Amino acid sequence: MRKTAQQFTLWQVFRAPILIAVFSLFGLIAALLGEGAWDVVGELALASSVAATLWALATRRR
Amino acid sequence: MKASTLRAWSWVHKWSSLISTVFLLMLCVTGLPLVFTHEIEHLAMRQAWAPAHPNGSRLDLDQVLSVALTRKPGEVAAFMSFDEDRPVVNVTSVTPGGKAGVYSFQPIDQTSGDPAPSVAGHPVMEFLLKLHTDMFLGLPGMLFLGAMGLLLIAALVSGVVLYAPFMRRLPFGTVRASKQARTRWLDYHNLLGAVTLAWLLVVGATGVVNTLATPILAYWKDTALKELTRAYDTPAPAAHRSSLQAAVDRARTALPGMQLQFVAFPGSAYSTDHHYAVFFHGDTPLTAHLTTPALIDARTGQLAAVAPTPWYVKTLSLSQPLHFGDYGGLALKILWALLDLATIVVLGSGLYLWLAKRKPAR
Repeated sequence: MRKTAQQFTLWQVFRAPILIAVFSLFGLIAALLGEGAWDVVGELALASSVAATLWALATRRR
Repeated sequence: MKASTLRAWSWVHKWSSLISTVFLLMLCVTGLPLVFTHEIEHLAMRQAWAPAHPNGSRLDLDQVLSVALTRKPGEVAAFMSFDEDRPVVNVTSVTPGGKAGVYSFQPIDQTSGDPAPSVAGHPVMEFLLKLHTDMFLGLPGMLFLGAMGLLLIAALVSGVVLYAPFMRRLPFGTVRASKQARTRWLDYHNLLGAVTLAWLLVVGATGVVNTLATPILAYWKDTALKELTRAYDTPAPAAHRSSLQAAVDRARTALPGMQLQFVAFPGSAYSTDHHYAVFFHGDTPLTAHLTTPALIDARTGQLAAVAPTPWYVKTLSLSQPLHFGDYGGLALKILWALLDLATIVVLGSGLYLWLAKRKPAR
């Protein structure tokens, strides 16, 4: 193997997906249990998944 | 991770995906418009309509039922539901012993007994729903799609495990767009798989629960409701039933403060052979999805029981909004649609990666 590239730890690999999953689950449940403002909070939390995708496509495409 | 462990997870990911992909693609494609059923039907079916006597007295439910059944000779009532924004009662009736899933649905103006225009049940949406639910195959089709949902969950779990070795050297979200197609699509697959994971697990798992609706309701009737039917050995004959209006009124006094949702007639999926099951729901966001029936003896009109549904029926009730995405506003539905589209890309790229791998390397 050529010069060994930097290896990420498991935590580094999974922290972004875990964060998105936690936000998504919180959003799904907040919108179900709450109303009014909670619906909006839940939708924003779930929207983190879409936002992360757009961010990655904008900055991590090479 | 040991190479053999990795190979095992890889095997699970490959086969759980390969078997289910074509069905999951069908579910995603039909599910996309179904998310917006309410909006689409509102646009396609809305028409100016006013009740015949907006301020006049309303027919009682027995009169509405009798009018509805006169228009469908030979059919028996299965369900009655109530529009919230117009004085319309909907009667669903079926031919006794007829094919499952075939029914008549009649909205009726409660001020006159005249037919009212339908605001739901557009044929195209009904077709998509049927395809999405059971592929026109009835219960076996539903259970089959439930099995595909279980494979989806296996694919998601194994996908998480496989994500680690692929992402060891790549920052989250990297897409090597200038590399060859296989690398590029692997990166899209990993990115979109990672961001949709939690949502897709919820929609997949609740979809599986929804495919079990028929056995769940049958089990409920065979256990919790069984005790109530002991006194009788033949179904309550339609000609000798007590007043429906009186049954609903009686049920209301048993569950004060709750909202009337629908009535299930004796012999229908949501009741026993002997009772009117009058379903109510609460008015908080959570309890709006949870129904409680009051069972009224269809022979005597007496209250037989208020039967709070057991945990597995509650699970079924809550699985519906979490699967449909219809419990927030339009924004939630749009998110459902975007994540559905992302899922289509995950499925498509997964299929592509498998096909590309099979071709011998140049």
